[in-house]
Amino acid sequence: MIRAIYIHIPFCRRICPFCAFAVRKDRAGLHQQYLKLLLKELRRRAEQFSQEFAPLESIYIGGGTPSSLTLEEVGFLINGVKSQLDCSKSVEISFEINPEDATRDYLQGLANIGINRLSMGIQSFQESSLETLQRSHSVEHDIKAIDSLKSSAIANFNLDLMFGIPGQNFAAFQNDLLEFLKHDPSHLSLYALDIEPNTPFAHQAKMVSWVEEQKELTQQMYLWAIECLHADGIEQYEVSNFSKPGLASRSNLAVWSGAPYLGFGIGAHSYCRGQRWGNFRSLRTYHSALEKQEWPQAFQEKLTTTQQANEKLMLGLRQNSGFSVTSWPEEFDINWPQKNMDLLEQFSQKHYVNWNPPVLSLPPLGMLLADEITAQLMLDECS
Amino acid sequence: MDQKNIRNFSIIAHIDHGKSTLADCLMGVTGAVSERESQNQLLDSMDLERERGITIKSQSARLKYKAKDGQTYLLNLIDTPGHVDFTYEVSRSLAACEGALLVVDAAQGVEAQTLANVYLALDNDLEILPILNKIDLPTAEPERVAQEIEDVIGLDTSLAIHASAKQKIGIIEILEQIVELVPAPSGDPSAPLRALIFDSWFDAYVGIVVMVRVVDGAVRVGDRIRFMATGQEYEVTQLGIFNPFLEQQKRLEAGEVGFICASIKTMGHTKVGDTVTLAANPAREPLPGYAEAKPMVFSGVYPVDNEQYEELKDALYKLTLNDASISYEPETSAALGFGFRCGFLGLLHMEIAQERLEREFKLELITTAPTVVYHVHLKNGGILNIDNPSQLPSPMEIEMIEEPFVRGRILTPPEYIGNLLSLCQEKRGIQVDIEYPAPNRSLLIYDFPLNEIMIHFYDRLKSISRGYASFDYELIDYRVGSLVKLDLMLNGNPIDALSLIVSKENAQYQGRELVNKMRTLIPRQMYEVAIQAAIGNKIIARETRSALRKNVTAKCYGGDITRKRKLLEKQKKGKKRMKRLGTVEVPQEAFMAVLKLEK
Repeated sequence: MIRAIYIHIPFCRRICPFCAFAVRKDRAGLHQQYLKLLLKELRRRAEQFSQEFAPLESIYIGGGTPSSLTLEEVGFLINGVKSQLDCSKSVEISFEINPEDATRDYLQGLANIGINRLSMGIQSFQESSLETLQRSHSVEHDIKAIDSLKSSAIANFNLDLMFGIPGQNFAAFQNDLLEFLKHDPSHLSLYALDIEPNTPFAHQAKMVSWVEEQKELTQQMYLWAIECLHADGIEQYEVSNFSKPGLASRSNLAVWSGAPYLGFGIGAHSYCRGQRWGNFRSLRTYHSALEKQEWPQAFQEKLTTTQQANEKLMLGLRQNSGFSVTSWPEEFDINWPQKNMDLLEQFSQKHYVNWNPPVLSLPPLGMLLADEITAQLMLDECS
Repeated sequence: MDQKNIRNFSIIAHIDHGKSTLADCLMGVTGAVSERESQNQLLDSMDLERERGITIKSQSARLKYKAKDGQTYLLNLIDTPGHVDFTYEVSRSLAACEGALLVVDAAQGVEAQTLANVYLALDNDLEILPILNKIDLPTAEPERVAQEIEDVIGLDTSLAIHASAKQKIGIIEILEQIVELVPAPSGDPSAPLRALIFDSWFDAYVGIVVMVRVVDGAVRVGDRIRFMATGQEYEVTQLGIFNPFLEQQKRLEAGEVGFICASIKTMGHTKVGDTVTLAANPAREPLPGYAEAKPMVFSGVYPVDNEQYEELKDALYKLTLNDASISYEPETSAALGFGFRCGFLGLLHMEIAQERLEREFKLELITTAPTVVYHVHLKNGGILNIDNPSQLPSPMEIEMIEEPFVRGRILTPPEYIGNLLSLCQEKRGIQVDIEYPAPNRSLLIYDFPLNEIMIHFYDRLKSISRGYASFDYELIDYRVGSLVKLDLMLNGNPIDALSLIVSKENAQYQGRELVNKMRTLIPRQMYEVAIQAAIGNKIIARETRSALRKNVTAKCYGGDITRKRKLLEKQKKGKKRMKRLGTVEVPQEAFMAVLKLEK
């Protein structure tokens, strides 16, 4: 049953050079039209999957920059969703906000509309790091924004922090994390700067080589952060996500557990009835498809059993809960551990994996190599 | 047709000197193919490959030409393989002819490759017709090049035709000379059948297709034929010619060139150079010149995935159906599992074969560095032929090792001699002679260990001479060498498939270079990898490949699981191209590391 939806707001005042999401330069005039399209897509999916929808548990409004919308627009969106889908249960409504937008009034307005979880992209408490990332906010701004957030009616909030930023040394990162803890948020998204293909950073040779050369330092930061957060009662639940007990993002959990979810808006992804699909990343194509009563899909795929199993492995290993061999489609679970006994033993010896049959999970050292370990353990399509 | 109206000829030319264009042109002028068909260089065209279910591998063709004397002639153009490695095949193709066109680029002049093929043609007693091609080029110097042919090759050029295949200049003259100067076949039409096999290949529909030149007698559909070297007998199911399109015939007679199909499925029954005769009325003697093609270069060929062993075996079987000069024997490597030790005529031949195995048979292969055959004399008096370095006995048991030597000919403009001499020196060459046959041509004659010229010789020769020098070689003898086995170890385990036999004086240097190269070829692993080179028990070089660092995508948001999964599938696929040796994953190219060294 579908209990989670994602809504993508692609507008940004300024495009960050490391971002690979579907985003576009903000123009206030586009908002109304886009929101109408979103609701149109939503209405049609609600009809299509009317049998699959359970009362929603999570609505995640991400971007881009959702806070580029006015309160009125946000209200229009949320009311639109509520009129189509059952939101009678206590639904977690997450909303991404930029520090510049976190004014007292705006936050109050969001709370009134029903937003009950906020996520703010701080990235760093160092001016120099913010400059490197070409963020438009300052540290002073950030701290002010967090203060307003804390005095608002929305107590459940996440901060995004980045590490492995060019020029950032170990002490600077430690400061970032300690500053973060001072503000006592319920959730942390802590991610290493990755150079994504087709982003401005990917075209800067210096940036690419720095990230490559500093991997050692980045590793140390990561391992230290896990320990430090743990000591403060904030537990890791995924490669890049940490929370106080019980406050993991419901949206994240839904996507990573293999539960169905629907995404709306440009570049949004969905998973339902064993199929995955992704929407067009261009606003124009998205628009014209919906106008023509077509689905605005750029691709759709039906997962083979092998692909399903590999996704379970991939997503399971990214989470601290790991994955259980018994949760695999039946035809795979019998021989897999046997076939991979050598690897599992090797990895266990080096503390890259915790193998407590039937559950396999990754300790911090393993998390750092999650892609490599997954690739080694994945099933072949033909087998 | 009466033999006196048949002419069998081939074209000898250095690569790029215009062989294909000339062949097309001859077909165009004689009406064998239309203008439009000839536009895509028929002899090189792959479009021809399927014609009525039979693959046309040999690009030989029959041309009908009405000569100025009023008579019609059948001109059989017999295609020859174009590389130094295929000397034996070339010699058999030439043996099927009475004449050869020697095409020389009027702007470039004689090359070492041309020289080698002319020698083969002379060995086969062919009438050679020199043709100065590309005379339409502004840089053409037909007079100088004609002089060069006389000086370097020693051929009379008073009748040499000035031609341009591209501009269709001199084509009729060429056809007339073929009719006039190339001798007609002189076999005995009433004698028992003798037909020379000069090519054969495997076709999925009809089995093996054999290209023959009928020397004596005739062969008909339904005849029971015998291959004299192998003694195998078959019934002829199809006969025909290529004109250049396939045309079935009822019989092939003395003097003619054509193909035979006889539902032959077994490799090795139809060997190039063998003689076909009739089972009912066999010839007493086969045609002269048959020899088993002898592989000179060996390498281990292993499936990356051990489960592909049977497929590889099948692929090798099929490959040898149309290239009988490849030999293969099962071999086991501690590192690579079950595979084959394959023999090739030369380095290029090896590369072509490996590429075909991978592409046509969709196999993922690991091939080990090429090696020559060493004669190892043991202290107990025994002699071993070693074509795999890992099988070299311990130094204690060895009296001496002999290695194959070749005589190389380098033809070059004189200004590059200095640098070429240092190259030859470095490759342990022994100078035999330096000649100056023409004002702009120097001929360096050197003896080399074959092993040395296999690796980075030809490409360096080309770069030193800006492409002007050309090179050709032939095997001459075996000589005693000061040789040792160089072992490579990963995390302390010797990898048999990476062992090399090298000269003692270069061993230290090569060991260091090899270890260095391996460090760049082996990707970072989950664990640190020690790479060492050793001679006997002595470690002569060591490098460490440090462990893999962070390898995890930070973000897995927005629900885009597909992209993430695909990235991992790609990462996984990359691994499948690697061989796991203990805890180390080694990419295919690392097994050829020695070929990738700078020098």
